[in-house]
Amino acid sequence: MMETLKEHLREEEFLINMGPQHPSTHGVLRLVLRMEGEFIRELTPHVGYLHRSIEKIAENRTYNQFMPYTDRIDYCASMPSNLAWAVAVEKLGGIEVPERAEYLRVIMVELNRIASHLIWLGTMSLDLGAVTPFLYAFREREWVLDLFEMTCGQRLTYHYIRIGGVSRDIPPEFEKSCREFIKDFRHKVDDYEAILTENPIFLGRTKGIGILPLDLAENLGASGPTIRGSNYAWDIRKAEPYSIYNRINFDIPTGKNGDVWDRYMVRIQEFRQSCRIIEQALDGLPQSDTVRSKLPAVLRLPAGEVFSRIEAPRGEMGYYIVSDGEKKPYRVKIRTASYGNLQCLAPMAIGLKIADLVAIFGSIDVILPEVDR
Amino acid sequence: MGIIEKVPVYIERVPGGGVVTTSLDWVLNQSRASSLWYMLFGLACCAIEMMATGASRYDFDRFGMMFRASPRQADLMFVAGTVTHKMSKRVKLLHEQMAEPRYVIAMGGCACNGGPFYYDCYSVLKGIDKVIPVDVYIPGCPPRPESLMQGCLKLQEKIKKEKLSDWASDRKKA
Amino acid sequence: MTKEEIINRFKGKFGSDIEVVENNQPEPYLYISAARYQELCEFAKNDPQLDFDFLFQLAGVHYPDSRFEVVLCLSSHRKIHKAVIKVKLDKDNPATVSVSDFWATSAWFEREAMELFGIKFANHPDPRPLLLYEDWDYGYPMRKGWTGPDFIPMPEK
Repeated sequence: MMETLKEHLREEEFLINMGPQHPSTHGVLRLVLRMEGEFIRELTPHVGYLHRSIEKIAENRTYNQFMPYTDRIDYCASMPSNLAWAVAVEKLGGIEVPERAEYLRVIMVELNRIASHLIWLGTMSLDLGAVTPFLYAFREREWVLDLFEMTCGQRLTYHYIRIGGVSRDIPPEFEKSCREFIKDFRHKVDDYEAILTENPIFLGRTKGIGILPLDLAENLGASGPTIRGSNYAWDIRKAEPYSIYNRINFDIPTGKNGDVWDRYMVRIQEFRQSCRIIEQALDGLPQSDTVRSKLPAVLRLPAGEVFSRIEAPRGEMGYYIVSDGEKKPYRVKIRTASYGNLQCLAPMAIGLKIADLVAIFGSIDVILPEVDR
Repeated sequence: MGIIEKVPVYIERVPGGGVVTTSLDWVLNQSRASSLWYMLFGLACCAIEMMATGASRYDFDRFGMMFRASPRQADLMFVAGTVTHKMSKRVKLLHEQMAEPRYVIAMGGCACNGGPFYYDCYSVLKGIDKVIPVDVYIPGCPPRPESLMQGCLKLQEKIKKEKLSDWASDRKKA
Repeated sequence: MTKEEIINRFKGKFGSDIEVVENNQPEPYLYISAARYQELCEFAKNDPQLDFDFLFQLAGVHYPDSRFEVVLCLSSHRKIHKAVIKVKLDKDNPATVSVSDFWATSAWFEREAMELFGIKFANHPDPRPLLLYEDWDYGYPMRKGWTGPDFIPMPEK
């Protein structure tokens, strides 16, 4: 009987547009899906809705003037974006950074990693239907933003890490508040795990969904927790240590199967590892007055090129700078983590349902300005 | 919309009719201002501050504002973030899909007039008021949640000064 | 492998088609001739000692007086070394081959270079524009000296 029914029913494939304005696309991404019923047969991402031509702007600003634009490339993790630019410029110019500034940079970058993963946790649970972790995560994030506001006055786009160091020293009440936050935050991570990790609805929506094999991940340019979920311990902080990461003990969490649940667990473990790093950095913070090395007001770098990268919360972020000896760079090419991670979306989602696509997209944690720049 | 346009005119001609229209104005304005449902339309950095304003510490729900995903169920649109030329067509489409009375708040420097992307930028629309009419501008990069709430309160003040005939005729809001 | 070993390994296979850029960076910067560009990419990916399995980025650069350049930043996950390969293209008609057979991630980088610089990549699987809007016909914006509508340069003080 099913065969006769199938003959008479007209089954066609149809195109669905998950348009630029959609609550689950975390920004302005357009996905065109060719569907057969509820299953996805083909997925094409259309990007460019937030292309702000930051690379063209970089050719017309001095090295210091470009630093605020790096905040806006990845606004959820603004300190690592600043750090990537500072590390690249310092590598080209051979600029030394004072030791206290290095420790402060690491503390701020790891705090921002926690804040960025909290946004990820909140929005991913909101997509899957759980509203409570969203409110919990943003409550914790407010404490981190208080710490940042105490230091540099801004809540979102900090411009704190400068070329040659940081812009100012931390106030005296920062250390006490930060240690209290770390102590409290460890219990809060246990709370989040209690809600989500063993929850049967969450497991049903994430276990075995969106498996990313390791060779496909490397070929498509995935990095960060996306590739660590596929059972490969690759982290720039361990492989090519920059700043003072070679003096700090921490582990690299990995997943086993490469599905959505593994990538979720990798980020939850990264909360704990970041707490470890911040504690060690606070313990080892040297007493000193200089937090920024003396540089001329308008910096000129020697002619040449440089290629450098750091580990941002979403993956590897790096710069290729060509300098011709003037005060403005000749060419700046920005490579961000989400550029590679988004290319992994199509192979992971083929053959699954739209609801699974939402879960997969939440797990690779894409930020669109990183893709479009 | 023909009958609605005529009703306030005729009521006011009746002696004592002005009381009816002003009370009706007051009731409608109070109800519109106290329950603005906003559309989640975060484009860039200001979207995170908008989400933070709606979350735990600074709560939008106490003003009666809750987020809706679809423009057809919303009456307020926060344009939070940079609008590029590629996106501006879609912003106009979304604005037209909202049912009247509808309001627009331009949040952040980029939506007001291009912000830090004004110079040397070939793909950014320098201000959202080039495509849609804006009611309140909130400067900042990004504006603090307190600024955003003050902008919403200003919009509520603006709504409370409206008259019934404003939305009915082809004068003020298109 | 150290910088010297990588350079010697490339020179052993390509001889005089390789030109080394002298600088004091820890990774090697090499120019390859345009004719042997694809061969070098295949060698870099498949050679067991070099094992460059990760393409970090592919950039286009415009030098208005002389040339276009395509710059590849390669890295290896297992050997943990990096290299930068550059190829010079013709100033008026920049064209080369796509390397998306070796590193699938290069597809998007090449689409971006195609629409922003005008560099043509042959055998590209999907040569649609990536970032600019659909009716864009004002040229190639990232080239030096480009102006177009709605482009307001910063006034000099």
